Amino acid sequence: MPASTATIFLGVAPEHRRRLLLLLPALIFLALAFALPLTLIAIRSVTDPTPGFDHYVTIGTASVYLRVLASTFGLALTVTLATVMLGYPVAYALARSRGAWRSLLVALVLLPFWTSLLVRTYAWMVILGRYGIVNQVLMALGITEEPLKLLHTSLATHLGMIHILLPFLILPVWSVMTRLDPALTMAARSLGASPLRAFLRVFVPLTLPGVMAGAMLVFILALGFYVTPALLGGPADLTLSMLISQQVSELLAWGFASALAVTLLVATLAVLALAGRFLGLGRIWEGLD
Amino acid sequence: MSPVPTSPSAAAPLRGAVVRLDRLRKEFGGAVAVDDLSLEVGSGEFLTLLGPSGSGKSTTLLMIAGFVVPTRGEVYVGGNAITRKPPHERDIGIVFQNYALFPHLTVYDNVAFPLRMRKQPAARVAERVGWALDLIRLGGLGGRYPHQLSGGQQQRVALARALVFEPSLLLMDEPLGALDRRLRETMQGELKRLQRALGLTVICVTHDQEEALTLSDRIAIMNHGRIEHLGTPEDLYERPQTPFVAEFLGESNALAAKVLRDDGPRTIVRTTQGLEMSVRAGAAKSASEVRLAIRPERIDFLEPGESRDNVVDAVIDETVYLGDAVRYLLRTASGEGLTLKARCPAGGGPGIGDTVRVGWAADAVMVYANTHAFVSSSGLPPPAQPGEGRGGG
Repeated sequence: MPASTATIFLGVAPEHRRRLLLLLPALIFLALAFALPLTLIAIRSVTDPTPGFDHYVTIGTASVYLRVLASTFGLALTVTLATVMLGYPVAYALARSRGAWRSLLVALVLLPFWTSLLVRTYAWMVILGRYGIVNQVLMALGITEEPLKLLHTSLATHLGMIHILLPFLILPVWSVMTRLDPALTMAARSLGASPLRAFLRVFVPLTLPGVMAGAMLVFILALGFYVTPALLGGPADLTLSMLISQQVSELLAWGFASALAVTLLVATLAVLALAGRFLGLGRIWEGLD
Repeated sequence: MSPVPTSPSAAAPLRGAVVRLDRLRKEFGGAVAVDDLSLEVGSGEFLTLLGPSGSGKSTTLLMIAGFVVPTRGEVYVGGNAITRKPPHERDIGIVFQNYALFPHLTVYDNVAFPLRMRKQPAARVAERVGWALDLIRLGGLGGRYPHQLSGGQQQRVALARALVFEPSLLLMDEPLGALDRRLRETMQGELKRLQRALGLTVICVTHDQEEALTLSDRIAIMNHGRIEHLGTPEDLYERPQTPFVAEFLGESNALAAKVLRDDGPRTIVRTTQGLEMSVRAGAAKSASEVRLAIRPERIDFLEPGESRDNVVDAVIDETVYLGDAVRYLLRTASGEGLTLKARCPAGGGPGIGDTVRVGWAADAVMVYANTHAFVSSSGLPPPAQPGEGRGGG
């Protein structure tokens, strides 16, 4: 027995080890660029300026931080729901389109996706500004005499984020829709389902995994959004990422900023874990294949 | 085999409707997919549309189901024109090629789907689903999901789902295509048994001739959007009306020939390669060009002294072992290629390169006027080589 075990070890292990070697560059990069800084931030949050959990106690007790945390989650949730409502029909149109229409739709979805986030955010500033296109049109039509305050509002933040995050929902949903066997909807129709009921009872449930994947992606990206809410939002629309930036760049409170970052990370992971558990993502996928 | 449980709602079986297609036509941007097709399917009849891909059989099925709108023509089920009805109002059960079971629903919910769409009360749904699952002998598997079932079980669930709402007509698209050979044979038997017991009217579409021959009461062979020959499986195989049918169903030696003269009860013809043979008299006009088709199993090796209406010497070019038979590719002295199919001889039979004497009866030669195109080589004249076996491909 020991001899054969040794043979197996000698025979197979080097192969295995060599294959693991391929992962090494990526692992080293992740360790240096991701795991290490993250660990340092976690350590800093309980050591800077004095050791202890003071920062977390502050976050947990001072209502302002919990309120910002709640509004950050609220913003992410609204943006996610809006992208689902707007993106699902677009993905459906994409999945149903053929030829030139399809190319056009794909371009309309992907071109903004490939444009820098900063450029798109500035574009919204131009559109929504005091003398931007929207206000110009409204005034020219005589709907309003004074320019409306559109920029630096919650509305602007929502618009910008929904616009930027839409492709992250559309693409996974589209992918699931195109993989769905068209015979399933036909079967539903032949069994007596009207077009609407076939859509609601068969098409929607079977494309839900794509919606879940996309929504999760959008939600997590939205939680950590900084540039867009910072540039488009007003002072009242403080997100956790803005708060962290404020703590670092204006107050130089590195330790407290680290504690806020860890809080955001843990809260995000908790949401993910809950979603994975209660939405039963795995089970839905199992049924598809 | 356990007896088929009868429908609890009615002591009588389902009793399928009479289906009539009246000059049904479908054009796709100028291309004619289905060309003025007329057809009547009797109550309780199993009819198969058989044809190569692109022959219009699937389009015909989709028009009956309501997924393709005909350019013109009418579909009648049970005497009512349903041509303008949307699919969900047609009351037609369909078994799709890959079954199209809903993966997010259990077997029970899949089968209950059509009843729930019809807003049947829960007690009635439970009763009907129970009946349908017993029918296909999957009573205990209601709680499973489709992906937990074998291919044969999925196929049966698809059948139960298509029958549970007592449709007047059952459509099937390559119903056994996705199953392996052994399972196909079992399912063929089961399908036929159910269809007879319930008196279902079935229209089935397939390109698999074996499936068509074993299941059907009648087969319509389709080509270029038209029905080439409609008849019982035996009719089609023994007396194909066109060379296309002769070649498409089973195997056939396709030859081009010219009529030479009448010789009593026989007519003498000569193939383009120069092989003379006698055929049934009156099959063709004198001096006309004809197409001939001879089934490979109707050509025999001859013992010394044995004779037939047509006898020829040939060399064996190739042998193909088929298990229960051997296919021999022969070349006659005149250069004609012939295929002969014979039961495996116990002693090993002739081999490649051997010269053999073969013969066939005049009645074995099917003669067609030269207006039909052969199936082989996309409309070119029939090749000198005998038609290759066309096994379901």
